[in-house]
Amino acid sequence: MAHHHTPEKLENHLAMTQEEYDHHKSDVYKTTVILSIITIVEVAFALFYEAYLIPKDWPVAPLKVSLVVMSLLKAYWIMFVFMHVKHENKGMKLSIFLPFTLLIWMIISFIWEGSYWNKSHTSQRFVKETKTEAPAKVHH
Amino acid sequence: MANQSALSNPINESGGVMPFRASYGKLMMWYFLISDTFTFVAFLVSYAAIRMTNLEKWPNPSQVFKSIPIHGLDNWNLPLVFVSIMTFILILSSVTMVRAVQEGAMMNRKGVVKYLIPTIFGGILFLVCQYLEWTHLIHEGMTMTNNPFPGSNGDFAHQFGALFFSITGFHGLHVFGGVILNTYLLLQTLKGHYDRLGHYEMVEKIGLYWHFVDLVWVYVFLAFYLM
Repeated sequence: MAHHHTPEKLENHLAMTQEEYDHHKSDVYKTTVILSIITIVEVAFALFYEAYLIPKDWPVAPLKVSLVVMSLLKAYWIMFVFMHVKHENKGMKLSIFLPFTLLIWMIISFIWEGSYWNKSHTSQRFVKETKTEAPAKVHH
Repeated sequence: MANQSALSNPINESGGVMPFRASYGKLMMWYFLISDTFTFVAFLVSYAAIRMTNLEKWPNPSQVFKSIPIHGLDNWNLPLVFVSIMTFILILSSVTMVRAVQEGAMMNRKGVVKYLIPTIFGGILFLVCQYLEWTHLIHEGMTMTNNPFPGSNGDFAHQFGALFFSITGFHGLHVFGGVILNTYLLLQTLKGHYDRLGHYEMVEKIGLYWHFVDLVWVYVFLAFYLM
């Protein structure tokens, strides 16, 4: 039995045709341009309200919502093109994205809880301040 | 193809079946990244909750990150410029990484080397930038327990420093890990290991990790600098 244990050379299961390669390559450069443009717009939007380039009394919620939307778009481009989720099969896409649905309520509830805590503790401080002020008025 | 025949037989128990037509290593890298996403989300969600609790005390990012932390440039008021440069460094190093993956798929060793070197360089440059920013902020008096930047009501949210250093630090640790993995990848490629193996799947797997680091930065950037 003259069996030599040589590591088996595998086939290149990632192989692409020249056509696919060219297509994927141009996809990557397109995505680079998209990500750069979104980032520049994001920084501009942030500076609009952070550096008070818009009047202070203007509502900032639309700007903040669009920042979240733009970040989600960036995540989409990074995952679908750079991490080539676009070319994975449906079952794999589902097994990647379904766990994230667990996070939706977690994010909402923690932000909700935080702002509730802020309100209750600000109103408590308000109660304390009025209480300390009240006797002073009586003595005066 | 061998894999194709394994896939067409639903009760093949001899091994070699590829669920989702992806290899074991690649699938496990994806599942690791999902679990890591949960860790980062836990961090960012606690950041959001604590920030909401101290809304009026929270500092304005363009007053905290207002200068380029390089000697001679640190007196100019250039809010968010330095961190935007850091963001671009990370995006560009993600681009060179995905190009390395594509060259690997074409079995082009020189191409993989050509694109891995700027990827590693970008990672190191990002870490240097983070070092400069941290040093600058520590110099300004920001620590894990102290925050010298007041919010809109003139009060100080003392949690700001702890959250900033732990979250950007945890991300920086991932970048550092990525630089190590990419350096290992470069050395193995130069030795011709993947040519002998017959495929460059390791470039794809480590590439997924590297893009994930870029993906997380999108949200760290959003939470600390843009919001």
